[in-house]
Amino acid sequence: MSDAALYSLLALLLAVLGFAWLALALPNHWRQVHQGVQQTASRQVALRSGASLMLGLSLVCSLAGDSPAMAILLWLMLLGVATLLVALTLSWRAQWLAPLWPARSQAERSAD
Amino acid sequence: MHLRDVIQPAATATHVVGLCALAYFASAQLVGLSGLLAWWAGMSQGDAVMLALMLGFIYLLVLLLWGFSCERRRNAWLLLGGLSLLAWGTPLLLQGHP
Amino acid sequence: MGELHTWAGVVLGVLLFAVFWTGSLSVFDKEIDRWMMPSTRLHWDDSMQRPSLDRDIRLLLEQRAANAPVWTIILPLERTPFLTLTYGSEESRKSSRDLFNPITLEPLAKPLTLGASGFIYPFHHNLTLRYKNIGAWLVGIAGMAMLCLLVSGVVIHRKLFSEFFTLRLHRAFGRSTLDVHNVAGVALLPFHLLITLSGLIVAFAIYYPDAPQHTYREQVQSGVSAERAFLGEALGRIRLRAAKQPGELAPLEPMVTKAEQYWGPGSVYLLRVNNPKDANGNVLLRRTSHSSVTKDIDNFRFASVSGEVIGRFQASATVNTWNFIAGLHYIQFRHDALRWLYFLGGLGGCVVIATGLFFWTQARRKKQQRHGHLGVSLLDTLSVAGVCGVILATLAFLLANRWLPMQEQLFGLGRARVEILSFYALWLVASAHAVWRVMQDPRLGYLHAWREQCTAIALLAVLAVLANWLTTGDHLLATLRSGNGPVAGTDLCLLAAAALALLAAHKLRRRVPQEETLEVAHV
Repeated sequence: MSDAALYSLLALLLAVLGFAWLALALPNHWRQVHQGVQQTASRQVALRSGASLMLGLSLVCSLAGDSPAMAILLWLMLLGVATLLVALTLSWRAQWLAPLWPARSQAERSAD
Repeated sequence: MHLRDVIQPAATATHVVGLCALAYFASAQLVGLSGLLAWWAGMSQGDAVMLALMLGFIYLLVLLLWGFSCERRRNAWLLLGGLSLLAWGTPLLLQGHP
Repeated sequence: MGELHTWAGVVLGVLLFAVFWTGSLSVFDKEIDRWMMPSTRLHWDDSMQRPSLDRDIRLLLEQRAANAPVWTIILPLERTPFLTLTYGSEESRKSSRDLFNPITLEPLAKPLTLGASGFIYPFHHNLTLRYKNIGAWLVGIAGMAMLCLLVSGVVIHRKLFSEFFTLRLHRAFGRSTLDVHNVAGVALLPFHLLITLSGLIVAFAIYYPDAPQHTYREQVQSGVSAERAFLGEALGRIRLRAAKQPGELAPLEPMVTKAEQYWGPGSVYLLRVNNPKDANGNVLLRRTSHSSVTKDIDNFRFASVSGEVIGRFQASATVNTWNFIAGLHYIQFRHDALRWLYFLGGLGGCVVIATGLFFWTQARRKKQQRHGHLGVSLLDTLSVAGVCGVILATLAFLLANRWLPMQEQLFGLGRARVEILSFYALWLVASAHAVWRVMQDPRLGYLHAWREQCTAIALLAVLAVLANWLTTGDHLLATLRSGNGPVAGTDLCLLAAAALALLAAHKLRRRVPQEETLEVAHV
């Protein structure tokens, strides 16, 4: 695979991770993925900050593989693909997103 | 079927189509005015017109959304009508009638 | 805002779908051309030696169009792997075009088709209704409506921030349709905004023809058209008069060499010789812009007799901003990943529009008791005819291209015209089928119509792949093995379309009894 293609793939993966974290930050999706565990405000902040970082890194990766204008264009398109992938995963196999930000304590898990 | 059932949709349709046409006309006048102002601000003639053209569709979008989100239909017509008149008249005032 | 969204969506939904559908196909129009014009299934890349302008191409031009007022030479490129020569004629404004093998310079068999670039792409931006630009205006109105829909759609679905990724595909069909509409709409929002706005801006000359009037007042007062002056200054489009005196055309290769000193080797792809046999003729050179989004409109102009540079046009920064926006829309630059993403994004737009239409039908059905069946039936018919109809029409176009005999005239019409008639004919048949089904069963007939037309799409798509195999021998395994991207890609997409259509038909068969208990709530 060429360098540019590798960078694009990496950019896509980072975007998917970013949007997955954004989705997990939303209470109803967090509960959907982690089977009834409640969302907390501090975790939401952490997830959202992490997501912004991932999306930013995704843009950097794009820029590494292409001229600036094409890289930004590609990045915008990859954001769209990533959004759809996360939405589809949430719809069909929500549990797949669980390892991306595990719910930590046992106490939380047993709470309802 | 009451007369109301015919007039009301017809009135709405006329309002929608008419307001769209007025918004377009207003945007076209604004494009002409913008080109003139950009030229006077120092851009070359070609650049001034090109800039105005690219802005034209943004003007149209804003005018359409503004017009259709007015609470009262009458206000939308007054707003866009007034804007059209201003944009149409200003170049003539500034340049003198051809 | 909600009312605006619904009205605009209904009235223009069908038109928008056709524009997005043909637009998506236009991303790969040159590749589809290779499928539709088997004689052009050739290979060209930058490493190959360009045909000689003065030795070989001049000869061809002298043989075929010695007295034409304009010669256009388009050198072979990767996506158009052949030499194109176009000649205007003195008598008519129409020009004729001949294609040649880029290496042997053998004339290629006449394609006898307009292909995707000659029909589907023009349909996309002007519905092929050129009289008074009516088609372009309709497309423009659809484009503005799309922009309004995008913005108002976001405003309506403000709660999207809490339901951003919600895609309840297993729920009731109406709810899942809305979810697909919302998620696809949000995911593709930046793309759709860029594409729609850039599409409008590209065609400014049609939508704001009087823009230069005030600024170019001086020129208007001295008798020059404002538009002509503006196009000349901003876009380098100048017309020089013939001297009506004979003149000998100088060699073309040195002109190319001179231009490429500034532009880089191998960058010239087009030469236009205006008035080749005239003393005041001129030769215009254009360059490729494969590696930049900005569409390059710079040109060099040479005197035809002396071979001297008489003009060099370089677009200003402001004009290049427009060229960037245009380049964004045209996507003629080299980037396979982006090209595929554009294609899928466009099809995603089709899905957004179709699900929007479908959802609106479902919602309206609840209110039909008060206002009667007519509105809903009309919309049901329009939806099927607009969505499935145009897809079926496209497949008819492809099938006709393969099955019609390769003769210049068929049934008294040009072959290319018969292909286009097949397109509209099948669209008409699909519409009639939709009307029949809806009238036959006002409550559930539309579902039968959707299902049957989806099945027909699957059938025709597979037939098209078979037709390619049977009429050209380039079946899918062969093209995959030989690396023929355009033909293999088209065949694969046809098969994918067939699979998706079958899936849709299958899902619709299961939905029919469930429609009775459909519960739909608008956000």
